[in-house]
Amino acid sequence: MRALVIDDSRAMRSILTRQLQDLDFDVAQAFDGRDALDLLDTGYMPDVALVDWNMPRMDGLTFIKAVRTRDAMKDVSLMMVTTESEHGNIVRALAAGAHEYVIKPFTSEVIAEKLALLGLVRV
Amino acid sequence: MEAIDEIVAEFLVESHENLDQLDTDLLALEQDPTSRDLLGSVFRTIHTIKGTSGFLAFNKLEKLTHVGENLLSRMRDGKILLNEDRTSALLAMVDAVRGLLSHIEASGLEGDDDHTELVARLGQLLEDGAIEAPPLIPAQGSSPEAATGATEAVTGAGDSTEEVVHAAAQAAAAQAIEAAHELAEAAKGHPEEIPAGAQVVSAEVSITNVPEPPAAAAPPPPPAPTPPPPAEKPAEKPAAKAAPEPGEAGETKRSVVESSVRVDIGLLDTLMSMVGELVLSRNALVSELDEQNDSALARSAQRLSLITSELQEQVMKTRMQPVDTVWSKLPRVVRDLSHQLSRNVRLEMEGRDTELDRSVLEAIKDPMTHLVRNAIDHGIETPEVRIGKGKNPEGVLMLRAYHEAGLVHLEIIDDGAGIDHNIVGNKAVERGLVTQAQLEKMTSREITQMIFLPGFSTAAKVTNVSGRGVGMDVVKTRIEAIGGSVDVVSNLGAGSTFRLSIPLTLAIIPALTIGCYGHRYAVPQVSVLELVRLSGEHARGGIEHISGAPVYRLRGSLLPLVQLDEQLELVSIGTSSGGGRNDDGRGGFIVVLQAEQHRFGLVVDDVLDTQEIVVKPLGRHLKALPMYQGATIHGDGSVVLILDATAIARRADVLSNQAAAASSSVMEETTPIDPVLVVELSGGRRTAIPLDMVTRLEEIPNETIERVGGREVVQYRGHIMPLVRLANLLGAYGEETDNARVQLVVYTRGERSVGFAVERIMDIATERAGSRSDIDDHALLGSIVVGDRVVELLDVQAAVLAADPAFYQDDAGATTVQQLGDLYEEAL
Amino acid sequence: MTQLSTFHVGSYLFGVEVALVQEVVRMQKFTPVPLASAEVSGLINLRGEVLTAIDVRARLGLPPTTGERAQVNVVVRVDDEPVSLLVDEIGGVVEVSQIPFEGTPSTVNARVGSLLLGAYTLPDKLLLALDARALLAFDEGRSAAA
Repeated sequence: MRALVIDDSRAMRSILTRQLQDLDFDVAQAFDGRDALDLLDTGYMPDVALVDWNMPRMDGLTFIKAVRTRDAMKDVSLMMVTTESEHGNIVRALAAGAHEYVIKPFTSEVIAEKLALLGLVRV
Repeated sequence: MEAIDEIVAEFLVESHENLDQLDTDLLALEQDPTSRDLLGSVFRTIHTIKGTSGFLAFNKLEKLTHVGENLLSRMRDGKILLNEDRTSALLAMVDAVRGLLSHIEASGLEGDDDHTELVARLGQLLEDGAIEAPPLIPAQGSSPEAATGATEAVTGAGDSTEEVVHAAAQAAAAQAIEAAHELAEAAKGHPEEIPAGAQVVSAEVSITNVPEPPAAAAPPPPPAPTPPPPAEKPAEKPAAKAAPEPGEAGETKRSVVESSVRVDIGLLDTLMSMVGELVLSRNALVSELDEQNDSALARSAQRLSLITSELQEQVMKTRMQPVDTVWSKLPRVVRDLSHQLSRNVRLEMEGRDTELDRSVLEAIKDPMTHLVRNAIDHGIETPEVRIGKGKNPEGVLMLRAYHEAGLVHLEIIDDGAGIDHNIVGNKAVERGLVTQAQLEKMTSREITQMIFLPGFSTAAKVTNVSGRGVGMDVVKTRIEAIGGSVDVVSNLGAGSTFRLSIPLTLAIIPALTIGCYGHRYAVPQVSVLELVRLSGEHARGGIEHISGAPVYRLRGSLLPLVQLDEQLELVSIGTSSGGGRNDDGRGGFIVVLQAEQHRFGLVVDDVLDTQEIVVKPLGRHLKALPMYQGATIHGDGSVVLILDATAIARRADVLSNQAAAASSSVMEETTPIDPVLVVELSGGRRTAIPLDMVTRLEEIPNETIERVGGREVVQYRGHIMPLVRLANLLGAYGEETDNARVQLVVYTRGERSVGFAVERIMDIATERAGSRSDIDDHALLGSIVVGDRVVELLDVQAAVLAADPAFYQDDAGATTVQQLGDLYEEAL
Repeated sequence: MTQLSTFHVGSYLFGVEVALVQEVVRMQKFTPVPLASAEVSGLINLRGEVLTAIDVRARLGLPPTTGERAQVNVVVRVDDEPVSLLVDEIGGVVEVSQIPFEGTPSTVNARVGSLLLGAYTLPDKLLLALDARALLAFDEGRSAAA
């Protein structure tokens, strides 16, 4: 299983990568939406992308919308990573085409559950 | 747990960087409170720290940043504006976060600090006015019922994802409606708030499908009338700016993060010394190969040589950083101190990207901070005092950085009270630093310098503001330790300027490489005004000699010339003839240089390239040679000397000594000194003509002068040029020498020219500063001192009018033959 | 355990304290410095640092080298500043603690003598101990040219 972690914080990327690796994912990282799009355009297809909301250059919402317009990427599950205070964002993300969302901070169990909902992890 | 520690380390490093940026952004935001870019950037930083701290179980950090995030979120959504209180609270939060990070760094734990007060304060600032909103509720409308209702709906929804989503949607919808209404209200009352609000509308409008809530949650509350936008206190200078422009995006520096890489400093140093070894080997190899005649090998060696030099340069550049690295911390210092002392200070910076070696930056950090604090504490007065003195209540503190004459200069300039040398002097005597007798002999400037003496402090008590173990004497010691010097100039009542001058140990300047007799030299680009190519026969023609001194006519003015080979007493490499240049039809270049207030041209053989060079200081045996500013290592590894334009000009005596002395004290008021052309009229009388009024020097045969209508004219370049004999004009009656040729000083303006006939053209010289005095005489501006003689200064305009009264009239064209013909006929 | 790093200049054998000698470099291109005093032969590039190269012969008042002898740079560090001494050839490091030490011999000229700390009598020749600091003490702070 392959995953893509998109967050402009290096520490965050490390944390999420670790959690995903513990679930046997191969993990790639991207700095923000622009970076991630560039990576996807090269043909790298993760099974799931964990997308942060607030990023420079291209934020999470814009990224989700962009991915959703590309037929080639229709099999990439998009999981929004957001915080409790961003309720409005959750709605917008889902409306724009995100498949799932997870509120941070989350434990490994929580992310495993979420990924199971997407059929990517056997619980 | 190794893995977690590594991540914690990453988190700490990243957070520290972000916090520094945050300080800067917050202060910039104060000036531009509705900048979406800045708000977004600040929000993201806090958001990131909050998010990550949650994962790492740093609860205090999480809680603290959570409140900050809420505040920022509201501001980002345009619901509230950043004001002084909020800025201060946020800055306090940043400091608290730093404190927590330090604890974590030291012990892995958050420590015992209590932040409840700060958290409460931040919570209170979520709303304007007295309404106390519970801190943990995310951005909501102003009605508490809606807030509670939505919160319950969200939290009460339990683990069901769907319910949570719907409740969230509910809250979002409520927010949207609220926001829209708030906007409407705001728009009615305060039209200038619209721009900020408009952004909110567009953001909210993007909700497309809002799923219908399955359960009946509280219906959207009726729109409540909004309280009017925050009343702006007159004292708040940043918020007081009317009509903030939405389009003005604050430049965030975040993108720099992506294009740079973090490297351990020890690694850089190792890299440098390895490159050094490489260079040495390269040098040896090249020398060995020089003796052999294998051209292929030689070419490879050459290539290796170039690459090595470039590598050397680049690695050395890694040590250079802009002074802004140190300066960026100062706005915060200024702000805090100004508030603490009730001063109103505007900080300005010039030359932020001036580069300095890393170690130098390190050394100036504390001194700069101290001088800035000092300027605010002891320099800039309170607004009341300033108004009383007729000054602007806002004081200005200016930081300047620039390269000059082989040094980096950092200036701290304030327009405050200045330093009273009397007080300084008395204090010094009181402290036994100097005797009364010695004091009497000192100049006010010398007295002021005494503030740098150890054991000196003019403050009645050492305020803890300027304290901290750094005093003026420590500033001086620290700067001198890196080979620099400190100076202060002060005007009582008007302000003070502190200047740190530090040698360029590793400074990079753009420079021009020139060649002269096979040798290469570098000239700092900053001194170079332009380049003029002398080619072939024109070379000789372009250069004239006035009393043996070469000059060049450059677009209407005369440029004194200096031959580099003469100045450096160079002998050609590789030519058999020892000295003596062959300047018949020799090509070459004139490098027009700026030296203090003067221009002059340096004659060289070749202009090779311009590039950025690294300035290396010369050793103690050569430091005293004024014409070299240092040396650099060229691409091929050879050492090239860097010339000092001013020193060369001085040596060539192109600047008069008096002028040089007058302008040596850089901080004093310099009066412009004009070069003049000295001419001799009949009878030995000398007159000076300002050089910039001299277009050309001509020599014409006597016979060509014609008399028409009482005037003398000569046919000159297709026009008729009126002449005036200065001797006649100025009433110099002496023996009229019967020269076959007449010396003319031609003044051209547009299409018109006038010629001043003189006996002899003497010299170009410089008027001694301040020597002008008035003479009440026709066509003379006064008398000036040139060298050791008193010489009259011609009033060129009067002289011109004497030759051609119509000269300055608008109709173009010189007096035509027709007009003169008319005059002639009239005269008949 | 005093050790001297030795080198030849003309017919003399000189030595300076080993601790002062940073390194020895051959074959260095150097850049002449116009208007500098005669003792300065030029500037060299040593691993990116610009060093002044002192012509020891000139400093000692000896006649200049005849012919095309490649010269050797002995880089010494005195008062925290590296300077290169241009000499004819280097000798080895000589352990002198067991060797008889005398004052400046009368056989050397006055200029040379003023820069010596003394002399060691080696089996086959005289090793003159140079006062490195004194050797480098010229021209400092003065303008070489008007």
